[in-house]
Amino acid sequence: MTNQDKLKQILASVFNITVEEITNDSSPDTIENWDSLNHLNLVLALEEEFEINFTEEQTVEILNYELLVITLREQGIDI
Amino acid sequence: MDSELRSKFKDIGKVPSYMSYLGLNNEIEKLKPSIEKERIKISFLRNYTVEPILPILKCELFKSGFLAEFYLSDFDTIASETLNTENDFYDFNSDLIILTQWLRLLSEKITSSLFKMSEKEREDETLRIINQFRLFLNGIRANCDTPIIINNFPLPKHVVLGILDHQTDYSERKWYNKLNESLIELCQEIPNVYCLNLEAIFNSVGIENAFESRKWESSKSPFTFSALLPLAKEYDKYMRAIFGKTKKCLILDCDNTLWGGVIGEDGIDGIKIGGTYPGSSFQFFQQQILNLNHRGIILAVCSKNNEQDVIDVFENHEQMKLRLSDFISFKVNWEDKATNIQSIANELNIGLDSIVFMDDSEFECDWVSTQLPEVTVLHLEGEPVNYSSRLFEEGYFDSLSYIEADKNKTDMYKAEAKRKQLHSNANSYEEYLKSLDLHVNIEKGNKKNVDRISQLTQKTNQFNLTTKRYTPGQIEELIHNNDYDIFTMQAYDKVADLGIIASSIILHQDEYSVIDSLMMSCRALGRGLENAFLTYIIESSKKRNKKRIRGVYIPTNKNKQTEDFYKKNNLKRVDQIEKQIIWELDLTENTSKNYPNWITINANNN
Repeated sequence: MTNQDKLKQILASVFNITVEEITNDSSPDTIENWDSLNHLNLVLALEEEFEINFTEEQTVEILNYELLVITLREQGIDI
Repeated sequence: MDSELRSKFKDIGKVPSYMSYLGLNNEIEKLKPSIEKERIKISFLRNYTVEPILPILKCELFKSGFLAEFYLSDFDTIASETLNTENDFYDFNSDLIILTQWLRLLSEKITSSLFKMSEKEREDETLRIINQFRLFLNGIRANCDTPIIINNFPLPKHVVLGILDHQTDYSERKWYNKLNESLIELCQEIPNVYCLNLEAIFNSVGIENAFESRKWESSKSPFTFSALLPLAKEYDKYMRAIFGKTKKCLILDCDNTLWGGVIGEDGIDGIKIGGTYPGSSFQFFQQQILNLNHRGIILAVCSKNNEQDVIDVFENHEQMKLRLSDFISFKVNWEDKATNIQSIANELNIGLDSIVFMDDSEFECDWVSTQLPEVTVLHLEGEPVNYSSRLFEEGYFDSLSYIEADKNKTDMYKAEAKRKQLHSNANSYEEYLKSLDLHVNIEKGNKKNVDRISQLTQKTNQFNLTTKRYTPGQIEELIHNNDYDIFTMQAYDKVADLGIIASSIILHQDEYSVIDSLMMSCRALGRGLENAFLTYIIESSKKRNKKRIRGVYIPTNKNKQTEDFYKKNNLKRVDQIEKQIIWELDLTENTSKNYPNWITINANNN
């Protein structure tokens, strides 16, 4: 599984949707379950699965799929 | 649970991660409408973010047979939600209320000045916090008797006085410990309130790993996954204990479970038990099993071996902690283990769902799981050093009471086996009952039996007409309430004393009495004792000049055998209010009923 796949898998689990529903444009506007609580869960899940620690700033920035990818790269993840 | 979900649950136990819990939680949500599980409602009254625990808690509860639904209070609304009567919180109709507050938000002083405060100021601060809890708890109690759990407070990671802290009167940690003690006293003061030891969870995980300061500051969410998981499991343990899912019987394999090696090959001098590792681990495991036995868990053996070889070990190996007499049932043969476990359950008259089976063989464990899915199967993997923690980690045997009589459980079940023997020698059932020379003592609730009455309400599932659970505190209150009568029935026969095996709570109103609760331990069934007890209750109601007596039956998954109990005793069905079926007997008619002639009744009710 590539890290892209892994990221999509995590998003799918956290927001209770299928992997196919996730696109580069996915954001709280396109995913109904992406609310503040699930965002917290997303951060928890990403940190655990990729074994990273977001900075406080990053946790508020990662508000769409592309930003997620960029931020994971900043954290040294090959994605 | 279907097999796919079952295997996912098995995997999550091996390498738990927050992600896998989220995934599993989604699947439960999807299946929800078709799931046949006990539906329960849990409310969180909280002043911080508890949301991340919900998916984990839902999965853990699911494993225990519950399908949970949650209600969350807002952050600063505990007072208004508990003290006003009409609001969403009370409308939700919780089965369990969790009151959890983060101390830093309750007490400004603990971060600013605790280490400078005088003894008086320190006590005042404790009192202020406890009184606030008391206010909320009393507010809830004025509205409902739902069980409540409050979390105690973890100790701080850093203290101002550092290495000096614990050695001075200004110690912050000492203050926390005192506060936690006061919290427990408060819990004992109000019925049906329990104190969850969050501090112990923090200790076992390590404060360092349990508390997340970054998430605390940003979203008021204090716990890491490492703390959330054991906390969810702890709530689950309380749920099981409160809702009568405590396991009663532990069934054990022998080779490589109770000792190292195979008796049939290694012989009594070759197996590893006692002495150095790994024998020492097996011995410690046996000691812990024995401790559970003295706490009221009954033991049985189920092993594929030559019976005489195994008996020889239990009787003659001097390093053994467990002896033959500690076991209530001994199935050492070449039959398949599911059949053996089923017959142990039948012998003891206990449900398969109250059995835990431990074996080192994956094959046997899988076999038993598929044949008897209600049995909890623990596969002993890896090093024997880990075996004993398997007994405790999931809290299968945890219950909310511990009384003197728990120690003698095994003897009681043994006496029952002896009676069965007498039975098979008798010509008729009545002749058998007469041969037992059965006596009962009926007593009112009092200081001495209050714990046992509470325990009967908590643990009895099968012969229990209303399955209402009461804490010792609640029972004590009812004892002092003149509108109520509480009776206990102790039985003894020529084989043994069965102890207090039944209890009933009766509410007396103007013209009639209502049997609020009536339960009897299932090991006392089949002797007509329940009918004698009811006859006594009816007579006592007549003595109070009541015109009618009402019996209530509330059906559950477990108490079907009591469905016709009132009918068989000549009460008439008069009403049904939601799930409650009401039976009634007119006491003004001449309804005197005789006690079964094989039972001698002694009543001591002064």
